[in-house]
Amino acid sequence: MTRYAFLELTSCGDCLSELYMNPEINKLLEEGEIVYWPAYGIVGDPEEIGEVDVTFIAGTVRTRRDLEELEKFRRISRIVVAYGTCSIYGGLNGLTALLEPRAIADGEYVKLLMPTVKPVTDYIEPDILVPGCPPTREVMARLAKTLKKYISGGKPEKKIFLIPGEVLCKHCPRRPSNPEKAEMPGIRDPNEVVDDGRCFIEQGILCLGPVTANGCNHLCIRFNHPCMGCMGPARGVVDQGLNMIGSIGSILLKSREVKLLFPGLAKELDKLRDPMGYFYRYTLPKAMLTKLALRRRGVE
Amino acid sequence: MDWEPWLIGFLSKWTAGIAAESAGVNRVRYSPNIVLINVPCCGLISPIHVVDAFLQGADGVYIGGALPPANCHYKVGNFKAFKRFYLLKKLMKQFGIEPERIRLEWFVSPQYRKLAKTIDDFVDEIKKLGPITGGVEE
Ligand code: SF4
Repeated sequence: MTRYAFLELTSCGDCLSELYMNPEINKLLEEGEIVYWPAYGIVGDPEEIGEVDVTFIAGTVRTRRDLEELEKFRRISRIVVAYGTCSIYGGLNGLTALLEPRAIADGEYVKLLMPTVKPVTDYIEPDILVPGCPPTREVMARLAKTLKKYISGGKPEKKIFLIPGEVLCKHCPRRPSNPEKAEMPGIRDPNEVVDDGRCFIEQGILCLGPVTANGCNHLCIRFNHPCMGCMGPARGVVDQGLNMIGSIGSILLKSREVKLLFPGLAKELDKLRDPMGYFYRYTLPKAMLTKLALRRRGVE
Repeated sequence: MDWEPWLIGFLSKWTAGIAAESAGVNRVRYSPNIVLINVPCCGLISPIHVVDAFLQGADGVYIGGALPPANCHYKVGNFKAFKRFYLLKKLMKQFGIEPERIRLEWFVSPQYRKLAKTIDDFVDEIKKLGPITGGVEE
């Protein structure tokens, strides 16, 4: 019988519950056995569990215990699935990356924390990576299909990345008819704008589509919400925020820059009050600048 | 303290790059702490290049482009650069890294004295700020 474990590190844990309820995955789980899932009362000493076939890991490594558990489960598992954006890029938990442990916890508890928060992929090599906050139904179906291949033994030769990874804009229903000519007419607050169905950026609303991987089938965009970047960087994107700054530099007010000159452009750019929060909502621990800032604190 | 800063400069070859060349021809000295790199246009320097320079140990990054509105060889490269680095500085501030570590200067081609002076200024300023690692021993 296939043995499954669910490991929830620091996270909200919702994506694993959702995974459990997915019919295709659920069928697999029913045919096998769940040997470890503390959130649902299936507990045990990882040392005594023995070999596990598939371990689903969600969340980030924030506490020292997270790291211990993670390493133990990598050792005893045949296939490790890093599930959800937190485990690959840091996700919302990653927003504490720059805070000192003392700013998050009091007294005794400070010692239980790692100096910073990092995704699972910074410590171990997973076999299958499933980004998404949460991963969509199609991706879960793809995961079920992939797992079926390896259920009776063996493991993937290379890491499998379960989403296509191309830029979200590529097949976006709002994609401008002539992207070369697209221009961002300023930086606007979404509630100032009456949505007219065009590309968000052409309406002055920041959308992280140009730097984000497509694994969601434009779910937010189809419901009139600009992309927040939850799938992580698209293939070829080094750093979501820095690449986005590059794009904004190219297309913001490009037909009026000669008139506005530097002061005018600066005034417009000042409307973006929290670039860090906006660009790195889901990937802060992976940002190049985070690395630089942490190095200054002596944290590598 | 025997720490010496080292800096990287990206110069647009049509303006600041020419200034650097004239500085050489006219034997104008500027601080040896900077390594200058000529690029076709300051509008193609990505924020990634700059942050990467910091990660590799540069204490400051100097960017020289064309004075707006009319001097850029590619017409609008300087505006692109301005927008990018203005935003990058804002972002760096949020990360707790001094935005003054990026210096933008704008040139009409052969202003070599200005180049030498601003580089020397910048080196002095970075000396005051200290190393990019914030003094942590590596
Ligand atoms: S920027 Fe956003 S709205 Fe525009 S094409 Fe890209 S994903 Fe679609």
